[in-house]
Amino acid sequence: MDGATAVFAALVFPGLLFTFLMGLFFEYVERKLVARVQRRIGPLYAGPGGVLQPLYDFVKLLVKEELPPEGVDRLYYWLAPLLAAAAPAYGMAFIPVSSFRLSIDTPYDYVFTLFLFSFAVFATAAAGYAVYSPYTAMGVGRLVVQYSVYEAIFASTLALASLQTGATSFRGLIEYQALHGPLALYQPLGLAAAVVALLAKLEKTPFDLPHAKQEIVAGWMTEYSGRGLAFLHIAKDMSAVWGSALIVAVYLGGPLGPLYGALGGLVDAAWFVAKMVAVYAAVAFISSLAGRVRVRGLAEKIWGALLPLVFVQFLVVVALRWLV
Amino acid sequence: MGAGKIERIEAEPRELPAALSRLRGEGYSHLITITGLDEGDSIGLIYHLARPGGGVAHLHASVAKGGEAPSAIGVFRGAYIYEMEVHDMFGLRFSGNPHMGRRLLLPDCYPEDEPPLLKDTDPGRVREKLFAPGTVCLQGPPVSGLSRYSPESIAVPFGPYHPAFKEPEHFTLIVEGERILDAIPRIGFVHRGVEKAAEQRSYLRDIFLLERICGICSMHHGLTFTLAVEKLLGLEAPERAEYIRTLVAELERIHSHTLWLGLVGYWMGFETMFMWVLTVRETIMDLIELVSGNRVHKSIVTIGGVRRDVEGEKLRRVGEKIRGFEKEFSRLIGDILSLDEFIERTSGIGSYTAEDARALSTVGPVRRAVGDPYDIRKVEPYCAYGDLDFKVVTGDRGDVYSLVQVRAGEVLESIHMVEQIVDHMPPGNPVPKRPFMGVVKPGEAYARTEAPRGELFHYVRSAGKHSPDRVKVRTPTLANIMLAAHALRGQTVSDVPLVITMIDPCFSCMDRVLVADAGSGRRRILTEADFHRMRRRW
Repeated sequence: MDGATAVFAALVFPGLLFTFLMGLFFEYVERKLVARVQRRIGPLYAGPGGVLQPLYDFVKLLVKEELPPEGVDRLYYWLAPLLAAAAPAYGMAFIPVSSFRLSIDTPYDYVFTLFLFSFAVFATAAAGYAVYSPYTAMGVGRLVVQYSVYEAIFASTLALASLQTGATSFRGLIEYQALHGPLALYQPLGLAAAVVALLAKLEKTPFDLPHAKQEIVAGWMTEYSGRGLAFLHIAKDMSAVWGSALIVAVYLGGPLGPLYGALGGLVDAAWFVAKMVAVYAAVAFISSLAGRVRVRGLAEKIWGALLPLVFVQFLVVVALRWLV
Repeated sequence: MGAGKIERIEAEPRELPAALSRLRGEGYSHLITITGLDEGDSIGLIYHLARPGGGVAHLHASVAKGGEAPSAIGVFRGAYIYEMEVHDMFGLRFSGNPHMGRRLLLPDCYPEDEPPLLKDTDPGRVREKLFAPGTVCLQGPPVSGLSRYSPESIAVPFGPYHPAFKEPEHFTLIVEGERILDAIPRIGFVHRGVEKAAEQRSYLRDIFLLERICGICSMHHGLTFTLAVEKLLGLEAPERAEYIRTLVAELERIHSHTLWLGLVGYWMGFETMFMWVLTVRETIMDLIELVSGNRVHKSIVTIGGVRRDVEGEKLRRVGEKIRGFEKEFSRLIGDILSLDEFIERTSGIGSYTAEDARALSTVGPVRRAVGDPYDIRKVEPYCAYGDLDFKVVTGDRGDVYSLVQVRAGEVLESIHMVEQIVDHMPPGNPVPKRPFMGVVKPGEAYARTEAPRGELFHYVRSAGKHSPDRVKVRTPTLANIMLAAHALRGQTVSDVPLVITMIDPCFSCMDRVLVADAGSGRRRILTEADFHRMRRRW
């Protein structure tokens, strides 16, 4: 892989541009789906079936007036939204979306993903702490609590995947799944735990505590407006893409599927996107049918319910290694 | 009856606490409100007391202007909020009430020497003082001396404009992490001077004015006022009119309770539930429009009857649609109440005891949720409630879950009442020949009804003119708001929206009496020409 390909991977496919467009599409899918669950119609007028509505909203926010409050830490206030959007775009560049290897391919990219995850949370925490107001302070406090709770689950499920396949890179994971079938067959409990952790990571109900509007207005992003807010919103959408892509690559065989490798990799890219949309639709559906958990019950809920799952999965994985 | 002429029990000001505790000993354990009156040289105070089983007593005392009256908080804990109201409106001080220093309803910058409800207070003069250069009218949170809380605590402003509130209201929450140490309410952001304005309009126009106190229970305000005026006139509405009034009142209760039930979902972050409940509620809104012609301000009540008849065909459709609604509503509520998640978020949240509820003079579902069957429709039946078969829904413990159960139960009861009304509508003409435009002979009367949020009280005094001499409104939310603040202590921030709103607050209802809009801090008076100019620019 040469430098030019790496730059292309980071900026166009499957990095920035692809993630951005997918993020807008994901938002559309979510809004439409939630609307249907709630007996509404959802976006309808912008573009065919309203598909361009997220783009319109993004552009509209970009051109709106910005009102940074007094006493704001200017560096973080401007930098944090950019970092928040950059983390998922960069993270996507490592994901093997298609069989023609455009993504950045390193022996340890899978492990590196964990680091990027923490980095993304750091960016949002910085966004909150750039302004010190009661709402942002409480929002960041909740964000950090929530992060420390779900990250343990997410990291251990990812580690279990590594344990079974012996791979530290996405290439290794995909090769293992090409031989033995999708990992979801062996690790259904791990998949379930990872999806719940993903809900928490994406701050979707029931885990939308850090920006619970009925309680703390908009939490850590209360003081953002205009461009900054637009970037924070798109960062959320891109994180959704990234998170779903991770689940697809790790558990659902990534781009593998019938006609794998046909049409110069376009078919596998289509497979990958279809799986991603399915994963995210499931996430949005669960989210639409849930109420928010209370801060006090958060750790109990996530750890109490998911750690046993992860532990059982761990035993299964160890047994599989020993048997196979 | 839920209305009657007032027979005063006279007392000397200094004997007030003794007289109140004597009446309390006689069973009058519920302080409805304190009405202030401008009697020329003195200020009259009427303490309206009710027996839980029915019967109202009115204790009157006259205090010289600029004098002091003894506070009743020793007898009724919840009296302090009514004393603050009288203090704001009439400038009368109550010795022994620790809250006399601050405002309840008026903005902090309101001139001390112009109590708005005195007859000689001139709105023009008040406006001049309010808008004089140097007057700053920003209403800050009434927080002082934070040091008495722990050093880790911070004050989190909750409102006046907050996504959880549909109306402006301010709570200062003193929190330590997620735990709330104290909650300090500040009301009065939407004063419109309704009580003062009512003194300047004819009785007929007052109905429309008073309906605009609240957008949700608007019909009950018009109804209660009308009942009081009819008592003064010695007039009785035709039976069919009473049935139509009851019909609209119960439809209003259904729509108000379902709105609240939906909002419970919103407040706990379960927005899908909000959407579902509001979809179901739409049927009721259609029925209200069908019956009264309006969706929000029903404007169906008039003195001596109702403003339009509901013919047979319409009644038939009401009966049909309400049965469909019952099916959908029971299914939806059954589903929601059995959700583990829902029970966990509401059960045991914002809990309060029956003693709290009684001592703070709470009313309505808030009171019934702790097992106290205090319902004006049963205690003192008005309109057609005497003929209808219904039961008072009560709960067994005070918390959000029990309130949801009580309100859901009341919706079902109301549906049955609507069905009975449709089946047994008496014949006759309910519409008076012409609207009442006359003079009311001197006297005073009260009326109380069971509005969706609880007991609603109106006091009307006539001096023999075309317009009332004094109208006093005590809305249920004012009686309940102190309980919300009380229940907030010790809760977590996650539960704040649910706890504050468990009383189904209607903040605009509480805030009625103000001469000028000063809450915005705007000093320039906008003339009509200004508005035209601004409109053209946009």
